[in-house]
Amino acid sequence: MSSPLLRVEGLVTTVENGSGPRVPVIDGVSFDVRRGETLALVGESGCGKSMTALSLVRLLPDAAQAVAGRVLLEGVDLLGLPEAAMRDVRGRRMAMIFQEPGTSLNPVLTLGEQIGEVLRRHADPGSRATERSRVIELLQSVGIAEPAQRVDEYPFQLSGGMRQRAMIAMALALEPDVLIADEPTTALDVTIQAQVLELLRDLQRRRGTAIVLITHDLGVVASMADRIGVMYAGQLVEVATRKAFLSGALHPYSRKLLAAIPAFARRADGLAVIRGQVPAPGTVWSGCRFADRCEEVLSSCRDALPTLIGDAERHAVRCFRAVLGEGVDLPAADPTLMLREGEVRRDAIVAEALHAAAQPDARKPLLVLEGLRVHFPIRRGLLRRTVGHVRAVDGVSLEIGRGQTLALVGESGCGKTTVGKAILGLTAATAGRVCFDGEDLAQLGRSALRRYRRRVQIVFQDPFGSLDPRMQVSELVKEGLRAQSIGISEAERDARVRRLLDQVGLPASAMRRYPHEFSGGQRQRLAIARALAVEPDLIVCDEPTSALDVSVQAQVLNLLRELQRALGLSYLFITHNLAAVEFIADRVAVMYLGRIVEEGAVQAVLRDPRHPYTQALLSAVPGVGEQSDRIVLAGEIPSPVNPPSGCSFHPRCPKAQPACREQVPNAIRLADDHYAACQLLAPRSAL
Amino acid sequence: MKIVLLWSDGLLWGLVLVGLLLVTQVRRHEHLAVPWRRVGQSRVAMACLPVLLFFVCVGLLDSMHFRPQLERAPGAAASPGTAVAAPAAPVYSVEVLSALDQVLKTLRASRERTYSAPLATHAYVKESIDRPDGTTVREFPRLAHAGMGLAAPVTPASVAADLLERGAIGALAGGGGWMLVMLLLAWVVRGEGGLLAIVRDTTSLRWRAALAALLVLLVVTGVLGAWALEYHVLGTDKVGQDVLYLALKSVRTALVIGTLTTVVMLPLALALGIAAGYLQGWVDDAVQFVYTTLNSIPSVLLIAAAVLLMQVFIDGHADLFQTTAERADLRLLFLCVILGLTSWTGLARLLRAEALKLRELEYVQAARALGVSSLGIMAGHVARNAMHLAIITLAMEFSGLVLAEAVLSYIGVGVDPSMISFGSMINAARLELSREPAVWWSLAAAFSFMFVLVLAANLLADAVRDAFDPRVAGLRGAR
Repeated sequence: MSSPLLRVEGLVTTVENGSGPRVPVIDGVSFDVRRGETLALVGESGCGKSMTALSLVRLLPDAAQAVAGRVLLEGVDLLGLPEAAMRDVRGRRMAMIFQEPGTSLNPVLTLGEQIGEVLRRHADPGSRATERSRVIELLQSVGIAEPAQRVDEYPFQLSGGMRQRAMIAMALALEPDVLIADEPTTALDVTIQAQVLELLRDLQRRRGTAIVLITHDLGVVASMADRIGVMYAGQLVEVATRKAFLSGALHPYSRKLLAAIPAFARRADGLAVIRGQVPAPGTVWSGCRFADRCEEVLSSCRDALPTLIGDAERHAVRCFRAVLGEGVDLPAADPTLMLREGEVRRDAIVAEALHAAAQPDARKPLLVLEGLRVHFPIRRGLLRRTVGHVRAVDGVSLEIGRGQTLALVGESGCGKTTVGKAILGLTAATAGRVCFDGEDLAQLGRSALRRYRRRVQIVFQDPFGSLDPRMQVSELVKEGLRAQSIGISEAERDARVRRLLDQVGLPASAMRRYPHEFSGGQRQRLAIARALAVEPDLIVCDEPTSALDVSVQAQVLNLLRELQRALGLSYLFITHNLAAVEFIADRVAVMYLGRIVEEGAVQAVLRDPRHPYTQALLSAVPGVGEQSDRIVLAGEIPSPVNPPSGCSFHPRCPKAQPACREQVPNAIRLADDHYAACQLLAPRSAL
Repeated sequence: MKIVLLWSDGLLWGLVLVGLLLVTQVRRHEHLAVPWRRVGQSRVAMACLPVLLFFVCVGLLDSMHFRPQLERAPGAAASPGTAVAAPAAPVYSVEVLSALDQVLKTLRASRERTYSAPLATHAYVKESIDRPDGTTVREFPRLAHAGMGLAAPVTPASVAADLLERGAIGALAGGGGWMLVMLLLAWVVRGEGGLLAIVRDTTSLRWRAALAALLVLLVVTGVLGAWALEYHVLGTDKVGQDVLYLALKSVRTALVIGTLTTVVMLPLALALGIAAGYLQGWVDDAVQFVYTTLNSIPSVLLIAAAVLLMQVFIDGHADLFQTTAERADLRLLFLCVILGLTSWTGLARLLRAEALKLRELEYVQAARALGVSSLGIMAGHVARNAMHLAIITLAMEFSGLVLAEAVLSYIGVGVDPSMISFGSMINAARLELSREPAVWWSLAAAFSFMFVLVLAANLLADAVRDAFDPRVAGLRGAR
């Protein structure tokens, strides 16, 4: 066994806490990373993952400080180095990739200048010309097309995926031994994420770089990591190889995280939920830090802190249950009852779902979209002439039945949010019809529109942006009641608010508080309560869980399902998270560049995707299960200002035929409830 | 005595009334009181409070006007031809006095002939004095109302001793008053631990800071007050008026200009700025057109033209005004209106930009989806979230307006010449500073009064803004 490249021993990082004593946010973290290995650190937000990364490169914010432990890079303790020597380590030996590609590049410098700066700082690049050719080489190595041209471009001229590639190029400029990637793909779409992950894997293969990958996405972990470290409250609670972890995670926290991932098999009884929240830094523990949220807590858990037991190379866990002989040495002897139960239930659930899908809905659909188009004019010049259109939505036809959930899936920029806004009447349709319960939205007068708004509601993605920070919870929830003149007296409305809060699982004491006092998941509950206040029939959920941690996402998805069952709501669930779709949706529509490319029952589309785009999208999702062949799409979504002719997917489609360039494909019925818009799927005779 | 209610008095007291109503509202509703309590937890804000209260009290005292009844000359009533029975209607002075004038009676009455330096006993310039023996000498004449109690040969040492004695008495009086306030306060907060809690600064509101500021304020007031009884603490101006009196009288003018202008400006800026940003379309075009046009006209010219028009009107309708004070007041009021009309554009522009940003936010979209009317959204979401801009701008504007008044007085279109203001004091300093030896105290007095007033207002506004911004408040709590 080779000696580790990077060894972290007993790292403790503390932050200032007002006038009180400093509070540890990382408390004795130790791990090794070998050359060419990927160690993934996972956990909910607030567990100290990013702080660990920043401690390694010594880029902690002023209030934080690594106070104990060692960070050994080939035997040299980085924490003891003077700052000047550390500057040489950063970039040359260790590099970092940040989450937000938009803000980690300087907008006023060209790519060439920014990457060249790194070269100049650390190595003698020789002349300008050689520096430039080196930068072009780097851009090429991260898969940026036409690097000689891109080198003179500014960050705003690049798309998000391109910017992240440029960031990676910058990090790799000096061929570092260790690459620390802090949520490198969280801000990217799945197909772009697949590209970036593939790039990282490829670079690692070629250069033997060690990667410390920080993420909360267990799918990414499963597809990237060699070893996995689970962090909770500033400590590693489990370290295991990928295989051992996925087949038999031992710590209750790890198991809960895995069980919280939405999946079709978990539809019947909801997702596993970790009660409570990640403890705030400065909490005082007497025993195991997870004890308060653990469902398998033993009496000894509250008295003493378990140590990390086992071999960190293979599988180690910080849990008393493991000490009791529940199989540290035998990861195969799976103690996770949950998974086995899941197996058993799966068949029953699939049967139930098929049964439900087979029942024809006798009633009329609740919402019908017919050839909906939303074009935004682009105006230029002094006279604001219209010079073109952004074809955000370009002919979408959909139906949503009563009590049904339709998931609208697609990458950012495909127009799915605009569909949602058009349904709500927040954006006017350019052409086509939105029919709700037989009424055409465009025909509604002022007061009819106000009545309509009682029936269709929306829940937004960002739980921090969707609640007015200056309104108390009671005011927030009451807003709809007031606007729709529901309830006569203030007391009546108050009672109703209390009932709504109870319905979404919040205490009545929340009424007098402000949104910023709540966590992300609680705020999303508030947003749902606000939408429910007017008793809608349909709720448009616009990425309601994208900004949330896995465990919190599970709570919100469970809540949405419970509410649907109790109140018979219909949902239009807009998302790019296919796992959530599997869990919550009855039917799914896949959207690409303003059009629906495939539509059908959730099982049919997700298990047997027919459109090449759907296939690529599904394979790009890093799953917890093993995956065989991966379709990585080249390029990015084209601009909706000037969509490609014919089938808009043809420039990226691996199966494109010459005919695809000319003809706009129509939806083809493939099965009972499964449609796809692709010419290649048409019966031979039709061609 | 006949009570005179000037327009600006009415408006100022109206504002006070509205303020008191708001306070009772806020006290009744817990959730409204919370941010204000946060203001009270800021040491700076609590320290500013007594200072501002002092200025407001001076301003309000100066806003209770009356005309004193003139004493009839003896014998005039008993002229032979008239009937004795009916007592003649009382005759009132044409001079309108205020409660403050009554309080500062000695200051007002103790007029010298011309300039004298602060705390001087002799005039600032030499005069020719005729001796009883017929000779004429040039020397600094003795002041009529300064250091009267001193024995004949007035030496700097004797003045210093007198000042020390009086100052000590004043400081003691101030300290005594402070003790009284402190005991009263200790009784008020007895629930929280009384005096001990104040000293340890463990009260929920930071009373210690307020008391510390009050101590300084009361001692300074006590010392200056004790000196002012016998000396001209801040000297006298060209016509021999006490500068301290002038400075105190100026406070009201500054407060009126600072507050009433915002009353004119705020609704305009809020309504037009937010409507333009939120509604867009032709409303936006129209509002932008108006404020760009208004901004392209030099505001001084616009104000000058408007004030001169007003002056022509006032001069042409002299019969409408019973006293000069009423004329001056109308001009002041008109100045507020015209300043408000020209100064709303900056805030409106800020608010429009903020509304443009806010209208795209998800909570505004959510409100639209709930069917809340545009007006409801503008008032409930946009205005509320843009309010911090208004508060900051108003605080900045307050000082700006006090200064604008000075500038306008300089070119002769400010307040009426008969009205005492910081502007006219500063304006006068233009000539005083250029003489040799320079007369600096008018400017210094106006400067220090304005400085303290504006600084206290700004610091308080800062604390208010922090307390009302939930994000900043949240950080404070965590830190």
